[in-house]
Amino acid sequence: MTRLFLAVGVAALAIAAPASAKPGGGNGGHGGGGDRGGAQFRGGGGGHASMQARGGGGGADRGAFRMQSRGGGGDRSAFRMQSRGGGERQSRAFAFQSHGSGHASVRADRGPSFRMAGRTAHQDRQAFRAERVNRQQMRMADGNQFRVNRNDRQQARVMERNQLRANRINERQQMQANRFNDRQMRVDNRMAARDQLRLDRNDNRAALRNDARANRIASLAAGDWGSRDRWDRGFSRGSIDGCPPGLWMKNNGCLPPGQERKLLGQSINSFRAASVPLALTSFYPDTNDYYWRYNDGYMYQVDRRSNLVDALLPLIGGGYVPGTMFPSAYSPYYSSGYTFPNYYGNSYFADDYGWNAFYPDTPYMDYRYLNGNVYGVDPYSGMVEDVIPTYAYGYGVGQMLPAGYGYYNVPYQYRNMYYDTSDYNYWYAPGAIYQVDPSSQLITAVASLLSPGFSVGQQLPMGYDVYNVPYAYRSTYYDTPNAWYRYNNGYIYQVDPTTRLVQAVVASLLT
Amino acid sequence: MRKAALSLCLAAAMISTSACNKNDASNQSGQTPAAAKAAGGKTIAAGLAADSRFMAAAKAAGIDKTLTGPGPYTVFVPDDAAFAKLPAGSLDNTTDPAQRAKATSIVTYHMLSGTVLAADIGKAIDNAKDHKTLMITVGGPTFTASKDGDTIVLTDSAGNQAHVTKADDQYSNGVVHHIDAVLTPPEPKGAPASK
Repeated sequence: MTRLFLAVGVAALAIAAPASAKPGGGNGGHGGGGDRGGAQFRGGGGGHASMQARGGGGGADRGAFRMQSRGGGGDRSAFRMQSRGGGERQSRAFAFQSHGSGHASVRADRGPSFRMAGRTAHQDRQAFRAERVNRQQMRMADGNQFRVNRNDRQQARVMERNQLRANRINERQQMQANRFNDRQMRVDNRMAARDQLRLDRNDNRAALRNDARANRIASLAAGDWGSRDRWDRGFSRGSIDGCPPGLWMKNNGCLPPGQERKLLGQSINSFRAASVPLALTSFYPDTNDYYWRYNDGYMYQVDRRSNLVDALLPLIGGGYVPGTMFPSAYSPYYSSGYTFPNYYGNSYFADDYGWNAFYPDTPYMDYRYLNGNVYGVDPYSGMVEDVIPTYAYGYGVGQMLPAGYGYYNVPYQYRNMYYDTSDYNYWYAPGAIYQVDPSSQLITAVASLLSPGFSVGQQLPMGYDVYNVPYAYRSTYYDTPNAWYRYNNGYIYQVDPTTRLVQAVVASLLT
Repeated sequence: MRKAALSLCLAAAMISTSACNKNDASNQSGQTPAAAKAAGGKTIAAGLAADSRFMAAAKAAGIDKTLTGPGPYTVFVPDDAAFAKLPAGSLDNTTDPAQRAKATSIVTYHMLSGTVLAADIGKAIDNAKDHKTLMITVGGPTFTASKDGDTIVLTDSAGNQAHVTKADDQYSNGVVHHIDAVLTPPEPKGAPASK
């Protein structure tokens, strides 16, 4: 609206100026810069630059001219000029006034003398007009000033708004960042808490599980070790002690085969290991560096400084026992025989070597050797049905007899010599008669070493070419071209030197 | 009061004596009285130096008590210097239970069932066409015996040789021959790894 008034004011001025100049004729064009300014004003628009260049006049005049020459856009130009400062504006207003007066004087020079009265009136009018213009100018200046102020204010407001907006954006960004951080922290905390919970829960579970297992082992160890009928009692109870079928018979706390190794590197305090049975302390002597503990059919070597399990030695009971699945890698179907010592089934020394005859595979039972034990395995189910601990390549002394070996099995010729007492029992296994502590079922000594036997009718095994009859019988049984005599496991056999067939048992040393 | 103290001491002594009876009877020897009687008074275990490397290995394997039994056994005993010649790691510490399996296989590789005198080995060598004879051990594997002049030489499965330095130490439950090297038994397939 203000702009409209200004434009109207300027237009009125433009109309009024030529109207006042008209009486002066067309020569006005040759007048001073003020005239030219008026012409320019009328012409409006373009070309003012060249005219301006040609025109004379002071800088102030030119400034005013320029302001007006822009026509409709003048107010903008004026605004621009005025915005430069009050001093300039005043000088222009002055220039305008001087210009006006100059204009008036030119006209006065031209006018005839008889028009003096009219001239006065005209001068008044001129003065009035000038004053009006001046007022208009002032008003314009005020308006411009107001506009400038307003613009300043607007600008300030815009700046303020921008500042506010920027602040708000910053704030929002900050808030978002904070919120993100908070959320992240919350998520992190929650995850950490969840992890911790999970760890705790696992720890608790593991601890509970270990405790339960240890208790079970302790109860088994305390209750069952001294008995020879734990198998029967296990069945009669109708309970499997919380173990999966097959594992409870291991009498080792349901640990599946191979799991014991996981205890390596653990603290001995994490499970309840028993001290070494007295009868075995000489076989598992403590040293300055480590000591021994017993658990689950295994002996644990424990570092004295850290109490961590350094090593473990499996006792016989720690192996596979009847009712467990024999590892498929060793199963009769997949075995390439590499798990068997060659004198068990696969001839290594000689087919006629004694022990081969003891464990031939049958349609109902395959025999496999693993870690010192001969396992009778059902060829159809793969289940272990029999375990025969062996000597020499087994572990022998310090091991535990498998559960279920409660019966007396010493060979007949040795029974007068090795009979069960309240303190010690005797157990035969290929190669040896063991002395067994009945309370712990641990093998405490090898009472007698036995050779792979041979029987009447079979060929004399390789390695028996040397005469070996004990002193007391040498006078009776000495080699001749027709008969050899050989000692084996308490008996003296007669052998045909030509055919090398075992012909008869001629003496028994032990019965 | 004095009498009471004395009787208490006596009672304590009797209890401790009876408690030891169990170990004295069979645990110390691994033999029943009947077996100990059959073994005789001078057993191989009693005849060998208790602090020798061989007896230490036998003890680790639990065979020291076996040598108190009736047997009879023929034992080739490497002297301590022979054990010292073993490569590092073979049988460094016989008291280490972890080496028991190894100790067992080594000791039983030096034992034969029955009584085999040096003359019996020499006769078997002489009778053989190739002048050597296989000898089966209580552990199962065999080694070869041959002669180097009048000295009996034992060769294990790896080709290591041991000479009989002192033969025919006779005991009530067998005979001992001293040799100058340790024989190494073969590692059969399926044997447990040394732990």
